Amino acid sequence: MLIRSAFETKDSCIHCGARVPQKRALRGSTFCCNGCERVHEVLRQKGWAETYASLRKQDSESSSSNTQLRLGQNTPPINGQYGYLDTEESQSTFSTLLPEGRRRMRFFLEGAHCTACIWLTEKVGQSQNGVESIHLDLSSKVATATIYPTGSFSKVAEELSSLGYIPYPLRTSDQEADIRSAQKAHRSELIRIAITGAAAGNLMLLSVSIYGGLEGPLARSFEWISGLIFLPVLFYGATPFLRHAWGALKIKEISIDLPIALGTLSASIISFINLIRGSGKIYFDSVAGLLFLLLATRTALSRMTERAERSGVTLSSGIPGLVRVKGSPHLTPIEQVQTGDLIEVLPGEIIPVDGTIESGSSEVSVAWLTGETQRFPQIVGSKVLAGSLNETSTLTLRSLASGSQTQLGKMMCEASERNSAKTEFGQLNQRIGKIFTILITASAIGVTLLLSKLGSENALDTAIALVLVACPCTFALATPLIFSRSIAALATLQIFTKRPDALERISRIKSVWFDKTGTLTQGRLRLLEVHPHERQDEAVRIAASLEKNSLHPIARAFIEAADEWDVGQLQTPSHSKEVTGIGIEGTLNGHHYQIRRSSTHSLELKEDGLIRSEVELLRDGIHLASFVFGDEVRSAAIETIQTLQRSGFTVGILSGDSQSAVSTLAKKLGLNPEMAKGNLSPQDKKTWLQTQLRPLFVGDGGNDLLALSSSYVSIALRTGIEASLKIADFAVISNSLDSLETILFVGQKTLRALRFTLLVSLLYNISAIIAAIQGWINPLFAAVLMPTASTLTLAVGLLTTRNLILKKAIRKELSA
Amino acid sequence: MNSALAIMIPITLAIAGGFIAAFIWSTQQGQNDDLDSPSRKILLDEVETQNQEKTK
Repeated sequence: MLIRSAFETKDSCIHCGARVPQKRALRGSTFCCNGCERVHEVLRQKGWAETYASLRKQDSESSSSNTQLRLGQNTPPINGQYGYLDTEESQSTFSTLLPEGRRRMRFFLEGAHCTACIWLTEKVGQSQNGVESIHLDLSSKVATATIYPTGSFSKVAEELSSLGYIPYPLRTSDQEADIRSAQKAHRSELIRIAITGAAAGNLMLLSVSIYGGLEGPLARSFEWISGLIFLPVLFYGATPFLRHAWGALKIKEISIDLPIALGTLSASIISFINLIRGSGKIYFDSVAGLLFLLLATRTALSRMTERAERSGVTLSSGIPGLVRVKGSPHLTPIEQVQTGDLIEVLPGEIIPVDGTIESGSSEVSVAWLTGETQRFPQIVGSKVLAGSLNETSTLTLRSLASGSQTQLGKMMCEASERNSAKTEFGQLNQRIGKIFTILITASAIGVTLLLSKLGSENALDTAIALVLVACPCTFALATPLIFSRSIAALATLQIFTKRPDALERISRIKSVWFDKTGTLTQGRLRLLEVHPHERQDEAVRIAASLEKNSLHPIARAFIEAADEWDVGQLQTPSHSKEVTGIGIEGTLNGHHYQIRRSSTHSLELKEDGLIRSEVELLRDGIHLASFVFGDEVRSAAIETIQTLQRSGFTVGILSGDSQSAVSTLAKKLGLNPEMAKGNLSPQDKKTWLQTQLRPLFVGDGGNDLLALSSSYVSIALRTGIEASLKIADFAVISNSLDSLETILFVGQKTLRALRFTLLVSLLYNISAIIAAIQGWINPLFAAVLMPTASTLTLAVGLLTTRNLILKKAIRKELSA
Repeated sequence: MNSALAIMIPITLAIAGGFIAAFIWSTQQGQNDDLDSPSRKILLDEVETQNQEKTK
């Protein structure tokens, strides 16, 4: 991943629109990175560049999104890497058979985000032989490719990849079932809204004339027809609310659906009774209208959260989906790996299974699993775990367990289970539900007694009608709206949440706990210093040229630095040789170069508690330059922690790394050393968090899964395993620590909006009670008052959530 | 007027029912699943022919 340099020009990349770094611009390049340059060349060769550019222009003009996605990937796609899609086994795992021998496969396209992407995807389908069509659904980013027997899925995937998207084939087994059931649920939601809405509209038509004064047998017949139309509303439209209210009651909870269900049921029953009696008031139109509005806003909110979730999260769980099985010519999907298979893992790759080493020895980093940054050499016979990183040389493993049977897999299962136990809307819903249920029941009883004392007839009638009018419909309508707005606002900043009540919870936290590696630090090896200073560009260029084809983390860091500092063209060395554990050597321009661990060595703890390692570059045996590598503390870390402490939160660090490293870092960041806890296992973190009062946990990586799911609120940053994004309350795709402040800010604003809306709602309820006592409540009253109050509350909801992130952005500009 | 209404109202309800049936049918067909991409796809043909004119 490139980091934007401070010196960016006003030139925009002609492919993706991002800024072109100054050094590249000086070279005459019009692209922001190698990825975009490569993709643009592909487009140009195919003759698609013009149309693509006009579509991108249209898109950026019409949409207000400020996502400047980098479309090309920086690492070129490996040739033949999708070959496995054409094999027999893969056909059944990934594709479905259609009539006439055609096959259909779905891909999740990472990087697809605009109209031009739809067009490109379709173009790929049109231009390849044997492909019937490729259709991209933009909101789910799923491309569906249908091919004839003559076509090839691997070619489709390769071409999509060359255009800058990463295609992840979706497995038919789990995905298909999930997709289909989600689809069915969506469809019945829509149908329910349609039927309730159509009924409500027609009921209103029929009641208008009665409100206008119609009487007699005609009015009676209208009432009977209304009753008929109302039946599907009661038995189909109202069922979600009745079911939720009942479900909550069974576990002795009161949710906001209970007062709604009570109001609906009592109004319906009294209306039917009065209909049969032939006298008294009926409320079919009001109930239907209320249910329609409630269904519509709830569906809108759930679609919003779903969309936000899909935009943010990629499908990979960090563990590679494809592995190299010895003896197989191409990559194998991980489900097809069996215990006892021999698997090859190259340096720089993540180990895909739990296994024992058959041959090779290498340094393996378990940072993602335990948070420890020390690397230990592993030799033949030792056991390695899925999810750890193979750093220095190739290993051949005998597979012991894969997928959900691995340690990591089991951790994820446990975390997922705790995850689904957290209900949506939990806290707020229950409290409001209790308030309103008590209020309504008490007032209904009170009004009945009062009215009968005063000698007014129909006291019971009025009381039941009161239950309908006083129901928290206003609040129940405004809440989804407020949450949708907040969630959408955060989504524009690449922060995603699936649980609306997380916004409420984040405003109530008392303490903030950070993971160390990857959260407070960058989480990867970077080139930090070069000695001597004067020739650093040239030294880096030579080093990166030598390391061009190595997968070692240090090699990658060299190449990244070379690209970022733009040191010039890398050469290909002749006779290069990598010696594991020692270094790399090669010949360039007639000189023999070596890169190896510095003799003055090596792993030391600096004043920020982070490990450094040093390598040196030798030319013909003579020391030329030395390089210092290490993980870096994020620049935003100090500021964020200080802001949090000033706001009155208790701040601390929870890490699997050694206590001394954590304490040193804590000192540097200005934290109370007692708040820095090291040597913690995932279980330890969970236990600690459970002793805290309303903690917020910020983390990433596999070792944080348990902590993320058991903390009161949690935020996941995108450096580690993607699975953590699914488990946490908030997922920060942009991987920036500043987002913490934004989330807190939006959470507070949301809470304030909710409280204000609640106040308005309660005022409305009190007026309804007063009206009941006055004897004003009748169907006309209900039909007019309820929609008016609902609209008013919706307006309040809209007003209190305007400019959610704008103000914050302005504040930042002013203080910068 | 009563006889007129006696015919009108059932017809109205029948028409309403017809529309609901049509909506249910189209939803089961999947026409309401993806409401975003089709709206953008309309523009694609237009832009493509525009560019073909330009390059001719």
